[in-house]
Amino acid sequence: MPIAMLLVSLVIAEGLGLNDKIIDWVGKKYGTEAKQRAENWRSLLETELSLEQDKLKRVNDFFNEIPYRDDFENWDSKDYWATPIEMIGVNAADCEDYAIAKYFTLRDMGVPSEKLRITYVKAIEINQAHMVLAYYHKPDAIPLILDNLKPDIRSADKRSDLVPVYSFNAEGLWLSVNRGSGKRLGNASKVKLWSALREKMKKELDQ
Amino acid sequence: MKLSRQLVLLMLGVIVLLLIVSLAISFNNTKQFVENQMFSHAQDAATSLGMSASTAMKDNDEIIARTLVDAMFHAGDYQQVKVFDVHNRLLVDRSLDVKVEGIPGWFISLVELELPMGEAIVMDGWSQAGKIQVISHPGYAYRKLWSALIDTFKGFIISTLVILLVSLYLLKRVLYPLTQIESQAIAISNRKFDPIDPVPETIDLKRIVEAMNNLANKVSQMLKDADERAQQLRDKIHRDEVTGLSNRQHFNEVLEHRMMSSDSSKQGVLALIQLYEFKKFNDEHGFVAGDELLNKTAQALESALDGMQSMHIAHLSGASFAVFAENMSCVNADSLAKSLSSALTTLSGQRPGYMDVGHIGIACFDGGQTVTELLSMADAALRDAQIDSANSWSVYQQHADESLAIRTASQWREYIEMALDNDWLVLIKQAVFRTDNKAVLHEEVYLRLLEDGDPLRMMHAGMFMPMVQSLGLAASVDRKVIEKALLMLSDDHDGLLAVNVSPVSLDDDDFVNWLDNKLLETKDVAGKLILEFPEYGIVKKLDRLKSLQQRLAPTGVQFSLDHFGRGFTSFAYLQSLDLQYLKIDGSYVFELKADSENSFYIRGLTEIAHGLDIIVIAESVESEIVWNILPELKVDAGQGYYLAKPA
Repeated sequence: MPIAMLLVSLVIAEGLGLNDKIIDWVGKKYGTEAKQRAENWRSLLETELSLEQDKLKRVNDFFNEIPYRDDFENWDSKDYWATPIEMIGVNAADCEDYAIAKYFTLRDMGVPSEKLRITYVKAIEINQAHMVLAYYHKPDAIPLILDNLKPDIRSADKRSDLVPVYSFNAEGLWLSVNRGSGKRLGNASKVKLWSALREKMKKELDQ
Repeated sequence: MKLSRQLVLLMLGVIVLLLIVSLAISFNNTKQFVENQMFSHAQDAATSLGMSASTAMKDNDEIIARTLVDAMFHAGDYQQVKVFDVHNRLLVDRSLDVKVEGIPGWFISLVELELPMGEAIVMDGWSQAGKIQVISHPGYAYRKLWSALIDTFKGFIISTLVILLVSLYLLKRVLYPLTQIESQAIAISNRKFDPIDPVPETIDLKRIVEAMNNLANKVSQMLKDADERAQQLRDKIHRDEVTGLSNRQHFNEVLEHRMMSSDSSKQGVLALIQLYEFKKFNDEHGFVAGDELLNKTAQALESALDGMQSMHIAHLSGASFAVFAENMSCVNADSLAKSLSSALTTLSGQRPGYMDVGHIGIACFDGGQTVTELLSMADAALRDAQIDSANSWSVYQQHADESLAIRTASQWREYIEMALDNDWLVLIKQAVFRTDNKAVLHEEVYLRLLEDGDPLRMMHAGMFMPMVQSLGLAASVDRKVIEKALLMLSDDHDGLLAVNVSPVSLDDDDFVNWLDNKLLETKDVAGKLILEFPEYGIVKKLDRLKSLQQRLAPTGVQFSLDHFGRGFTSFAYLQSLDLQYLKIDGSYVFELKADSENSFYIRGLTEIAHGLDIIVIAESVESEIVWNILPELKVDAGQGYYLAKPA
């Protein structure tokens, strides 16, 4: 690819940038099943859906297929935020991994950032700190909750098992969590977010 | 502009450029850093305020939420805190002007800091209640930036100064050979050919220095070669090949000059020495032994006369030698004959079987004889001696001339001291003329003694100076002469005056100290004084003369050598002296003819002297013919009776 085009694609690219090369990488690194999951993910991303409700359902279902596993046994680190690629590759996830993967996939499919919040909650039934993705179709609405504990999407007022603690705009939060060597990534712009994500995914695949 | 200055400027330019670039980079880094910090600070504040407000909102207590905002704003370092409701309506707005104390206004208006905004959500249970925007106050950031800038600047100025000082020192060291080359070039033009040592290590400079050293060497060698050629020429003309003494031709020239020249003292003693049966000795023992005998004879005569003033020894031919004692009174002829005779007897061992070594015939010159007459007189005396006895001598008897008072040594001392006390010593002047325009170059002063103070009875220096020198009074007389000359110079005298100084006076430290002080005292006229030394007397005291020249250099006094060529010394020492004038001995000039060997010699000498920036003057110019030859020989000036009599 000529350098000029590469540069253009880097600057204007907004989204996960999932392509054959990455999928091949996933295959090489995690095996054929993983590669198939990545292919499935790509076809999900490429599915044309007009209703946000449908997008939410498809994405929620897709990621809830991936079995839950605690950070600790999965990544040897207590609070590790995996990228969607890793999660699909190893076919295991922690609660924040679900929320993040769903967030990025929905963003890639065209759901605006203002409608999505990462919400810290307390899960009463398992008596644990937990994290979910909340969807607000308008700012003052009661949100829909995308959660791996209860695989179907429900309105927040139907989730008496969850006590909301605090919500974040996922973008700033993700950048903040993934700041390298103590240095914040500054004022998060959209392009920065995506390029940071892609960079992290690339690093993971290169390891 | 000097090379070192250019290099320093270049370096300074590079350093300043580096300063600007590194200031810009470090400033930019700091700026980015403080902007990130401001963002962190704002975001942290927004988040924590959002969390606290959410807790308050759960209890539906908007008052508490607003109070939280106020508390946060007042306690922290914020420029702006805004709270919006869920419909983006502004509920609370707390803002401050950007005012930073202790930082110049131009800096703040010049540096535009991005003021990043931290944002957080206020939740009410699952619902969004609004959002909070926080902007940190940039004061801290400006202060941080400003002090970083100042620190970097200070550090840079200090390191620039250090670098400059170090590099100036190094440059000076590296470029020092250039200064050396410069002084060497100047030294070469002043005929000093010392090489630069040590040779520098920088390759380019090393090459130049080596080339310069080479050049100095070559020029020095060329001058030496020219010296040697002129010397060889002179020797060929004037020296006897076997003994190294004057040959007949030279001796005749000397006699002619000393006896006939107008400024001679009209008294002297001529001795002819002939080895007995030398031809027979030669036939019996061969030429080698004969030559050796001649050499031994020459050495014996020289050592017999060693230390006596104005003696001319010559090897005339075969067995004949001659001695002319210039200025010697006939009274002393016997003692001269005795010392020559005893010199001959030391040679008797050289000739086994011959008791008789040789004979001596002596004639006195009183101003009334020609050279030929004097030689015949001595020859007649020699024949008398030969028939007299072995190793004997004879003095040609003439009517006794009683016109000169005959004094013993102690009488002379008394008389000269009386002359000094009574100021019977007077100076007369003779002008030296340039050959190109006949302008006066300077005047030479001569000393005369007024006998008994009578101005009509002037005694020639040649008559009493030998006594003055042998009595150790030379320095006193020289002082008198120099004092008088300086007085003449201070007394509105036009032009320069040359005074004759006795070489023996150089050995007198009191005299040298006196001279130094005297010349410093009269500094305004000392530059017009020329100290003149006879060449034959000074060659043995070159070190004294050199140290005198160094010592007197600040006074501006000039130096001259006269009677140059009387001895057979090398010219090489001319290079080591700082001479302004050189006067060619009258014996070369007196009967000078164009295209003669003497004129070739003079021509060679002037070339060497001009190479050393020395002005050449011919002595004893007593005819128009001689005066007209001088310009062709590049002689710069002349003096003598033809041009002007001493007066």
